[in-house]
Amino acid sequence: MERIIYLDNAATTFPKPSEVISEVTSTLRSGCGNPGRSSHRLSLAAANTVYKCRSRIVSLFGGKEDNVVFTVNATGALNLAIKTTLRKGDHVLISDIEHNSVLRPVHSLKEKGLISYDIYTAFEDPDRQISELKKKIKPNTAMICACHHSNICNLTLPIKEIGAFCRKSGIIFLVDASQSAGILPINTENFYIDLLCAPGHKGLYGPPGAGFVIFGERFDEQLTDTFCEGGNGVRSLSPLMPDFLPDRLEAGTLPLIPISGLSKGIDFINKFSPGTIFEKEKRLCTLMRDRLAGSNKIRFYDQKAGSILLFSVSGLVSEKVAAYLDEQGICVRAGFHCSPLAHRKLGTPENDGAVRVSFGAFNTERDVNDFCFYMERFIKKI
Amino acid sequence: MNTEITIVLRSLTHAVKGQKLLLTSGIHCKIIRLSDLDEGCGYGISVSAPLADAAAKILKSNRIPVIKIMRG
Repeated sequence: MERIIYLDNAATTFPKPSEVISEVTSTLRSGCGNPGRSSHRLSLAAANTVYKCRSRIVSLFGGKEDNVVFTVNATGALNLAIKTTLRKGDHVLISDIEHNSVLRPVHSLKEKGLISYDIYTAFEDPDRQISELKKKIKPNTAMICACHHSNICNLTLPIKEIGAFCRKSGIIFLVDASQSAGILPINTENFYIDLLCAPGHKGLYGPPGAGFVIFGERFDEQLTDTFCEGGNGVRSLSPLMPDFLPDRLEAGTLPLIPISGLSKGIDFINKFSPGTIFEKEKRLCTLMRDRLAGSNKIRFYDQKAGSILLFSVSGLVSEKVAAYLDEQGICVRAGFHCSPLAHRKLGTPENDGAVRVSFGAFNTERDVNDFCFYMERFIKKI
Repeated sequence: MNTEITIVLRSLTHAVKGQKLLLTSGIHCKIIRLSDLDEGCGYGISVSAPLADAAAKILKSNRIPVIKIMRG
């Protein structure tokens, strides 16, 4: 089989750990009842599978099992979190590195005349960040959204300090942990996070198909709007969704297979001491950058060390670079990465975006060497 | 003859969580599905009658609200 060099882990991590694959296969083969519908052993076994994953999630991020709401991905989680907790007339602040999965639902609510929003400048320095937020909040600011770690550069927001500021100000704090869950330390209680949204298939090494929101304690008393109404196996005679989590926000059959895999993904990352995977990714990324830095045809858009490299090649559109790399068995992503705000902040070409390399737990120095070999060969021909 | 008592809980999540707590405390129990509640269906935990009070106490102390207790 042709060697694949996978460097698109910010899109989804690959490969998945063998224990994740085994678990998914095993659940499909012998544990695939519908949780929360029947009383037979397969349904209850499935219910235990789902609960096990809720438990794994809270052991990693804090909170309680009841307040973990499953979705199919982080985009679903963010839409659900935003749309069930905001009220008409609210003002929202989003950072200038938010992904479209935050920008678009917020913008859509604004277009419907329901809310207003402004964009704040993202800073890594906590003091500068809080100062910026203080300038931007209004009397009706109800929510501050923060992308913990950008999907195109190595900017990490000081979410602990932002959380403390929000808690003091009585503002809902939503964190998009799509790129940081499983990679950077996050504790919903210590960081005062009211809504933590994450996918199961990136840094948590589960299969695509599951994401989640952890609702903070404030939602124990505060009833959210519903997002999707339907059957969930309880109170069937009532036309209303239940008034408690997670049932209120989980209608229909849950994505049992990816949830079962997500549990094992979390077990996988727990095998490493905290920060180990991220340190490895950073080391490989730095190796790659140092090797390519000598070329005057490559422009990097992020000067900070991290696990993501964003660059362009002069004279070539980013998709052409990605297409060439794909011909060599190298997987990267080009374009705007669903993050127009961050691209604008970084100053990438307005009509093209850039090429993104993103590392994961299974990348090696050999991957870096091969990538650099092909890039150097490619650049010589330009 | 030991009569079974059903402790009705508000959600399946609470039933699974409650079962784990009770089993850890040495109380044998099983999750059952109910369809004769006021609003139709739901979940509960079935325990033997002599252990019902202790079971309910464990659940409540772990912030699992008991909706009601039914005999049989």
